[in-house]
Amino acid sequence: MAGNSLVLPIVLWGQRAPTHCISTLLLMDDASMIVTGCHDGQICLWDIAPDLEINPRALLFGHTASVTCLSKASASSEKQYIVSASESGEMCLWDVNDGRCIEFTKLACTHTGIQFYQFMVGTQHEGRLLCHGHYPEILVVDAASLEVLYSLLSKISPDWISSMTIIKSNRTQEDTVVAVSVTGILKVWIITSEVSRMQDTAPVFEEESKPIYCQNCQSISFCAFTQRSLLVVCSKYWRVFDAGDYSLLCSVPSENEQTWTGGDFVSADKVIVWTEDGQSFIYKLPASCLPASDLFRRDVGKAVENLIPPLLYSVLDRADKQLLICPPVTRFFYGHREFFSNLLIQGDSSGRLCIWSIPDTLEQQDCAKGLQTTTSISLQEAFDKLTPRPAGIIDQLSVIPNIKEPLKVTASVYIPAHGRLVCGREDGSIVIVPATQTAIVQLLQGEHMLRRGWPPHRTLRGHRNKITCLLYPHQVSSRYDQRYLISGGVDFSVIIWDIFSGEMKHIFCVHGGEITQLLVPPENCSARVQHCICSVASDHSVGLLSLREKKCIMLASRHLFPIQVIKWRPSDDYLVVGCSDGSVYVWQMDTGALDRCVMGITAVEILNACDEALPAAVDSLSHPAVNLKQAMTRRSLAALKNVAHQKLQTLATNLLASEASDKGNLPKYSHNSLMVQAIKTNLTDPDIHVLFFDVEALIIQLLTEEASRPNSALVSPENLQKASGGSDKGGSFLAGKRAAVLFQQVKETIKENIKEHLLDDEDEDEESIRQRREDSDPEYRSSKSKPLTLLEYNLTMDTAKLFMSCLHAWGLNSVLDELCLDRLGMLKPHCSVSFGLLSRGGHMSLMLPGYNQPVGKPSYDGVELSRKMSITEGLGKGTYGVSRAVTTQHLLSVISLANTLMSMTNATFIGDHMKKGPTR
Amino acid sequence: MAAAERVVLEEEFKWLLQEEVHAVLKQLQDILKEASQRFALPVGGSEGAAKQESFVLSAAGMDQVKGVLTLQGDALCQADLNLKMPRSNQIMHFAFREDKQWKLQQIQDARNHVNKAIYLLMNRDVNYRFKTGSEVLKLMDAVMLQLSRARNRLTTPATLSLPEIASSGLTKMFSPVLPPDILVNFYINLNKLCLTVYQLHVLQPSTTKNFKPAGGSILHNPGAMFEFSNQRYEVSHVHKMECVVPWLNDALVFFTVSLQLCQQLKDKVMALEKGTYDILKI
Repeated sequence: MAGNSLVLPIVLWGQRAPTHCISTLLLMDDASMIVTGCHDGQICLWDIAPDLEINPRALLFGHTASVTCLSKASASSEKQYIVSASESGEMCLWDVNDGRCIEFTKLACTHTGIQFYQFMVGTQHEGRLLCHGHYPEILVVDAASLEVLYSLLSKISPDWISSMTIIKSNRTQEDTVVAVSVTGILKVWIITSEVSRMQDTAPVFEEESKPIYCQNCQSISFCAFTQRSLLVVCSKYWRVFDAGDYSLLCSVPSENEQTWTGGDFVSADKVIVWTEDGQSFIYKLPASCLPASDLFRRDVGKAVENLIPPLLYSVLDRADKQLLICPPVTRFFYGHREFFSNLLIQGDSSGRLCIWSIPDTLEQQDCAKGLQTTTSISLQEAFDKLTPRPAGIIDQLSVIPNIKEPLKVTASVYIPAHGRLVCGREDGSIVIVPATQTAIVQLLQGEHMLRRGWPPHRTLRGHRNKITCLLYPHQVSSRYDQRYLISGGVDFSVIIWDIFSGEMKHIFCVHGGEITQLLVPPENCSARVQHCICSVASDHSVGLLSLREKKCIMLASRHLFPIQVIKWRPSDDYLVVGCSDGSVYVWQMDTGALDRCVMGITAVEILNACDEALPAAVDSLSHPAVNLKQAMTRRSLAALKNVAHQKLQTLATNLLASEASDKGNLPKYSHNSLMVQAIKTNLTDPDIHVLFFDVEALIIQLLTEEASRPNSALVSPENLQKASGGSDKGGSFLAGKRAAVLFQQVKETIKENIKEHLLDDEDEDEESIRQRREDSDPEYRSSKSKPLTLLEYNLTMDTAKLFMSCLHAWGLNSVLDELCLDRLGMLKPHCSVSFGLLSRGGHMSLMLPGYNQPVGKPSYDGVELSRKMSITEGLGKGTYGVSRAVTTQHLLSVISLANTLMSMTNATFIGDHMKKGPTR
Repeated sequence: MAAAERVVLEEEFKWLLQEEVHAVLKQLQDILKEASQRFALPVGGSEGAAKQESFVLSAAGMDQVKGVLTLQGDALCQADLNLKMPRSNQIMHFAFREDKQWKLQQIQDARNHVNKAIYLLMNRDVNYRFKTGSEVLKLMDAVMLQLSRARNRLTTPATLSLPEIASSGLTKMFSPVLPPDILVNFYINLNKLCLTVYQLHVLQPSTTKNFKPAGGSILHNPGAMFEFSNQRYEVSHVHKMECVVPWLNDALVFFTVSLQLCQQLKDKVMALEKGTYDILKI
C-alpha cells in the first residue's frame, strides 16, 4: 500500500491521548530525543530540550505486539536510526527524524535485548546489532539490512541470555561481550575485528563460562570509570564483581520484599539501583569494591554475610503515587558532553515520563527527602495543555452541556461511495456525517464555525450502551443491500439499520457478551450464508446472522478462549474459529455442528490451508495495528480492481520504495481521493481518525469532473507558463498571477524531471479535450459556469479545499496568505495539523498534536493575539521544518494539485456550495 | 439501577480483587511449580545431575529402524540407532559419541517460559493488594503469554528444510560417522519424543527429473529434493518413530489447566469491572 502512490495521512487525535503503557525506553546519544515503546506496539518520540522540558512529537505504528527493546542503530550523528523489536519477533529499523521505517523483518524468536556495536571490517566500520532473547545464542545482526549474520554460541550449558553488556577495552583491540544466562552462568565472548570476517567458517564459542549464582538476573553493567568492576542486578539482590576474574566483591539483598529491576554505575564509587515500584537508590560502594583503594578485593572469598555493605546515599522516588497497572521502566543514561548531567528516565503505564537529573557531585542526602524529579509529563498532560484542544472527528456534534469532554467515538466505518463517515459513540448513538465537511469544521477556521449542528448529520439511536463495532456490508460485497448498516454494542445486541431512512430494521439478541467484531463471509459461500454477516462476541461465541431472513442461522459458542481469528472453507461449508490459546474449532455452517477441535500443528495447518484456499479473505482483526495494516492491503486490492479509465503516471515513483515495486508498474487508482480509517492503539481507547488523501486519485477526480463539464475550458500547464511569463496579457488567471508566480517558484525548486513527468502525463487529458476547447471561447474567469453534478463537484472540491488548506505553509508570506484566504477561498487551520508519513510495509508515523510546540517554553495561554501569533509561527515551521520526507511529499502534493487546479475553469474554492450544504 | 444492587456489585468486585484473585494465583503457582518440576533440570549451575530416562522408539510394523534414546533433562545424552540398509539388508548400528549431547531446544524453551510465568506470579504474592481490575488483566496477559509460548514450543516443532537438517551438526554426533545418504532429526511433538531417519539417494546431474527443492517442513515425504554442498539429493525412504514421554504429557496438561484458570479469572474480572463501571455511570 505504501507503494508508489502519494498518500498523505492527516490525523484527528481527539482530546483523549492514546494509551501508552511504556515497556521500554531509550535516550538518543545527543540527548535530543527520548524514544519509548509500549505494550500495544507503538513507539513514541519525545523531543527533549536542554532544560529537560519534554514534548511528545510523533507516534510510530508498525509492531503488532508489545515492544520489547529499543537500541540505536547507527553510529553517526547525522543518521538518527533506531531499531525496535517486539514480542512477536518483528524487528524494525526507523529513522527517528522522519518517523520513516527503513527496514523490517520478522524472526520466529523474541528478542529481549539489543545492543549496537561497531565492528572493524577491513578499514571500515560496520554497524552490528547484538541481540539476545528467547534463544540460547547471541545473534549478530547487520544494522542496515537486519539480516542475521552469525551467532555467538555456548559450549557449556547453553541457555537463554537474560542480560548482556559490551566491554570496550582501551588497552587491547579485543572487546568482550559479557552475558548472564537465565540459569545464572556468566559467559564471555571475545569479539575482535576477526570475528566479523570468519562469519561462515567456524562457530564462535564463549571464551569463559562461570556460574555466578545469580537467579533472575535483570541487568548487567560495566563500570566505565574504573574499567574494573561489573554490577549485576537480580530481582532479590544486587552484586558487584571484579571484571577481571569475576569474583564477588559485594552483595546487597533487597529490603521490604522489593524487587530490583535494574541498575548502573553513576560514578566510580556509586551505583544506582531501581525497583519494580519505581523507586531508585544510590549507594556508595565500600572500599573493597574500588580499584583505586588499597582495600580492593580484600573481601574476596568471604561469606556473603560478612561483606561490608554499601552505604545508602540517596533515594529517588516517584513524585505522584498514581496507580500503575504494571511496573514502570527505568533506565540510566550518562550525561553527554557539557550539556547534560546524568539522567535517570522512567516511563510508566500511564504514558508518563519522569526525569531525574543526577548531579556528578552528589551530597549524601536525607533519605526521607531524596532527590526531586526534574521533569515529568504524560501523553495526556501534553494533550491537555494545548489550546485549542486536539480535535476529534465529530467533536462539535458530541458536546454535552456541563460535561467537559465530548462523547467518545468508539467505532467507525467510512463509506467512500457516499463520502459519509459513520461513528458509533459511547452513549449508544450512531452519527452519520459527510466526512470532508466534518473534517473541515475540526481542522479549519471559517464561517462554518458559527453554524450550530453543522455539518448536517443523522443520528441513529437504538443501542443502550457503547457501540463496539460497525459494518457496512455493501462496501465489502455488492451482494448486500446498500441500505444496510450493521452495528454491534456492549448491550450484546446487533442492529440492522436502513442508512437512508434511518430506520431500525431488526435487532438480533443472540450473544451473551459484548459484540467484538462484525465480519462478512466470502463470496463463494452457500446462498444462505452469503446473505449473512458474522458476529463475534466476548462470550467467545460466533454467530451467523442472516440479513434476509432476519434471524440467526448458526451460533457457535462454548469456545474456552477468546476468539482471535475467523476463517472460512466455503467449499466444505466450514467456518474455522481460531482461539487465543492456539486451538482451532471447525464448524459446519449448514448444520451448526462442531466438526472438530484441534490444537498444535494440525491447528496451524488448518488455518494455513484456509489462507491458501482464499487468500483475499483473511480476517484477523484482533489487534488494532493488524487491523490497520490489513485495511491498507485491502484497499490496495480494491484499488487494483478499480483501475481508472484514464492513465496518469505516478507522480513520484522514487519517493517511496515499495517491496512490491515490480507490481508497481500497474497503474492502480481507487476512485476515492479520501479514505477515513479509524484506529485504536488500545482496544479500550476511543477511535482516532486518520484521513488518507490520495493525491493521484484527487487529481484524477478533479480532471474527470472538469472534463465532464461541457462548457468548460481547460488550460494546460504549458499555457499557464506562457500566461505567467507574459504576465501583462494574462489578466487575473487563477485569482491573481502572483499566486501562479509563487507556485512557479516553488515548483522550480523541485527536480526538473518530476515536473516534466507531470506535464507529460497531462498531455493525454489535454488531447481529449482540445477539440472541445477549440469550439468554446477560452474564458478564464468563467466561474459562473455551473457544474453538472453539484454534489460530486462539491465533494471533490471540498476534499481539495481541505487538503490544500492543510498543506499550505501559512505564515511564510503574509501577502500570499491573504490571497489564499480572500481569493482562493482556502481556510486557515485552527492549529497546526497533525500529518503523518506512510513508509514500507504499512508502517506509519503520525505526528502528535502540538508536535511543534517549542520545547522548553511555557505554553501559550489566554491571550488571543499571542495565540494567533504562535499559530502562524507554528504552522510555517510545522509544515516545512519537521521532516525531510514529509516536506518532500507535501511539496509534491501542493505543486501537483495546484497545477491541476490552475488548469481548471473554476479554480477557486469560493463558491456558494458552502451555504447550501450537501443535497443528500 | 437500584443503589442496593450497586453496593452488592461493588462488594463483589472488592471480594474478587482481594480474595479470589489471590486464591487463583496461589492455585496457578502450585500447578506451575508442579509443571516446572517435571522438567527436572539442574538449576542455578549446581550440577545436581538430572535423572536419565531411556525410551525405546519404534514404528508400528516396521523393523528397518530401531532407536533407543536416553533423555537427561533437556538433552539427549545417548542414542542408539539400528538401521537396516535397504539394499544390502545389512543392519548397521550407530550411537552418540561419548563426549556429545544433543540439546532439545524445545524443552529448554518450554521450561524457561514456565519459569518466567512462575516469576511473574511470585512477584504478586498474598501481601500484594490489587487495586484495579486492569492490573489483574495485565498480569494475566503476561502470564498467559508465557504459558501459551511454553505450550506452543512443545506442540509445534520447528519446520526445518532438508539442508538445514543436513547442516545441523546432528550427523556429526554419531560414531561411527553416519553415511552421507542418511539424515536424522529429533524433535518433540506434543508429549512425544520423535525421531525421523531420512534415507537419501544422490540425484545425478544428468538426471531428467525436474529438480524442485523442498521447503521447510516438520516431516518430509519421500521424493522431497534438496541441494547440499553442491550435491543434489532426493529422499527415498522416511522412517518416523516416536515414544510418549510421560512427564511431557503431565506438563502439557498443567499448561492447559493453568491457561484455562487464567482465562476464567480474566473473564470474571472483565465482567464484574464492566458491570460496576457501567452502573456507576448510569
